[in-house]
Amino acid sequence: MTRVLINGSTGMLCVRAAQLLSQQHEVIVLGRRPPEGPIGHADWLVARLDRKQMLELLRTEHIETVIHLDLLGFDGPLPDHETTVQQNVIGTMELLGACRAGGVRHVIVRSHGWIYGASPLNPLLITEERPIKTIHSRGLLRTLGEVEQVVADFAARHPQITVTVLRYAPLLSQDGPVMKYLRSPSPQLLFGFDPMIQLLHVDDAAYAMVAAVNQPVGGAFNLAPEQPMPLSQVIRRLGKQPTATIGPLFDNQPPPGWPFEVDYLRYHCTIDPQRACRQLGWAAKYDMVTALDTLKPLSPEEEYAAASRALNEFLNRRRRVE
Amino acid sequence: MNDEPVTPPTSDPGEPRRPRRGRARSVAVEMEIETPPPTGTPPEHAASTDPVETPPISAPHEHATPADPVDPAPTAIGWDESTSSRRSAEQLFEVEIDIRQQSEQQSGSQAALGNFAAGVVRLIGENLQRMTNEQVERVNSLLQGVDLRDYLDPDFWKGIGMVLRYQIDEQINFIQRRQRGEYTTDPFGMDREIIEIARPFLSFMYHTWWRVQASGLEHVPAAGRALLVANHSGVLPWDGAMIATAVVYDHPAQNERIVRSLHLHWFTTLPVIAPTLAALGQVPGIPENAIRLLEHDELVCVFPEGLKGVGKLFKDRYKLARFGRGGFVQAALRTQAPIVPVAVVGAEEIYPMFANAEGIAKLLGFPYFPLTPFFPWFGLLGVIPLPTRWSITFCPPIDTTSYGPDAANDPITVLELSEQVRETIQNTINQKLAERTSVF
Repeated sequence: MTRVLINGSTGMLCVRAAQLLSQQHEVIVLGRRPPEGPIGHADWLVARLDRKQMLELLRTEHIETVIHLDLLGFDGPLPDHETTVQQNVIGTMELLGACRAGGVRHVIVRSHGWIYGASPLNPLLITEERPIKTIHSRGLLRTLGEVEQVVADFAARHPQITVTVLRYAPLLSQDGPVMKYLRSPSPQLLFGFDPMIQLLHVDDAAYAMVAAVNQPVGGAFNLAPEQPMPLSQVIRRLGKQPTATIGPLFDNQPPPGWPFEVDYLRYHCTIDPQRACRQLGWAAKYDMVTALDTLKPLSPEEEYAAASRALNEFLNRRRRVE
Repeated sequence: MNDEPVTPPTSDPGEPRRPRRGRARSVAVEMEIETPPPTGTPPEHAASTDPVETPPISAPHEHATPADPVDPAPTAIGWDESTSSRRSAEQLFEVEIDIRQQSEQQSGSQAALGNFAAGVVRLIGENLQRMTNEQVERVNSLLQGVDLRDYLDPDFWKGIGMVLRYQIDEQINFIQRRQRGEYTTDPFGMDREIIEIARPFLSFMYHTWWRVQASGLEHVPAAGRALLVANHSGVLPWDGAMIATAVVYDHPAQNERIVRSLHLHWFTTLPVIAPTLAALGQVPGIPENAIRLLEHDELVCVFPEGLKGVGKLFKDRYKLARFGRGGFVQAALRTQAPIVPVAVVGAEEIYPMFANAEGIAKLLGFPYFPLTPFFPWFGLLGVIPLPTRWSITFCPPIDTTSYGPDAANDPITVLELSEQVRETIQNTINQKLAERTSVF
């Protein structure tokens, strides 16, 4: 039983992680908005806390583990750069400072698997030893490189605190930037390029978070399904046809709808989850095919089967609680 | 399935027909069918008495019922699963040749029809080579009871028509399935279906264009990891494709192992080429990739000369360049994979590059820009390689297990092994060059 604070309430990852964690741990969800779904036995606080108030919360509630999800751009649209820096970089620094002062033992920070950068020199699967690319020019990754540096710096200076960074492959959750791209009627690819891509189901991402809370090993973990898939195949499996556009010649701007740098449409940035498999005992339950199938509309028979599965799972959980 | 006959034969009913060949021998694709072979009237012939099925000309009807005594039973050949499609196709090609010979003795429209029939049979055979066993069985059952050498028989056209329609359906299914994204690739993007499509072309280049003579294939293990190390030449990396084709067609085990060649990572930056190479099983040449492939017990092919090899000038042909920094030896030592040196002779002359236009190359961002007698003067025609005669020699493997995996960290061992491999290849090339009488 650990006392866990989840900082940041937007997105399905928070909801699923709170659901799963609250089965074994004492969980508080802190965010500016109420969570988007039921969060099990977790309690929640809707507020925007400043440094002192955060410290007060950590101390009074004797929080041992802090999960930092309050980063703009992961779930939902990205506001202007200044706001993003304020929340992502400064917000992370403030939280880490409060954790140090509040006696927190374990900090888990969410990051992105594409932090290594897309490049023709990438090996097929990138391991955690590969240095991250700190300077990105577009989207969510633009501030995330700095966040990772801040976190790494903090971890080096405070060896008494375990710091875990979870580098997730793009999640198949409703508001994620990659999902938004995939939901457009015919997503655009660059002519003549078809990078391999990994997409992670939200449930798998939440299980990884539970594993990280239960085993405070520290360090960075790549979390992704082991088998990547060509991006065009992903689009086709969702029942759409990709359109090809000629790559940018001068300005290096990606085609409309692509929220990352254009290089991610050219070269792969696929990550190796071996370390998480070995040290956290985590493995993706959904491979790419089954994860993508969960987004498809169900036929009546499949709907029935899924309903009975869900009912069984629910009743089992109820019985365990009693 | 048995609705309209496709083309009623245009035979003149008055003209006496030549004696038919033995029906039993002809029905080559009748194997594996559970129903007993026709002893009297084949079942399909009964259907041809149906007035709807019979073509307007009345004569074929009497021809359709076999008058000649029928040899019993085509003998069932027990072919093994993997090559059944190939065998059926080969039998169809035999039929094609027979039909051509037969039609040569005919005259006028009959000969033309014969030629057309032969062409259609060949097309079916070529399609058959790409089909799965179930599909081949389906074709066999469609052709059951059809005399494949008797192209004047309406049943021939009916059977052929059904098969062709079935094959077209399958092609459409294939395309639709691809459109739905229902195919599998390996983590590097290799797609076996695409490889199957590319094979006939590579086979043509291998057997007809360059007439490659491969030797020493017994040195390539039929299973398990191995690192093929070859000299690189010829501006475009055709040599890698030909080494892979040699292993597919001429390896004694005949298990169609796919060679994973490591290509220059520069090719990853080229549109169209990058995904095509990936689908064909080629992998960007990065040490981590080589180790990962070897750990998965794949057959990996590397060209340590790299850019210095493909961009070699014609005057420097068959002089091996520096073998990188021995990275390939490190990969082999780390994974304890045997090293098989491979010497390719003939690829140096396919594009005789007399100069490298470095200025243009720099402008375009290319590592080199070849000037050959045909490129760039003749545009894309200059990309057609010259039909030289090739030989590919696989040398005895060098065992790396005696060194132990730690030897990968010892630069002296690594460079020594690298030098040993280089000398083996250079000596083999020199020997093969001395044996060679003509470039073409």
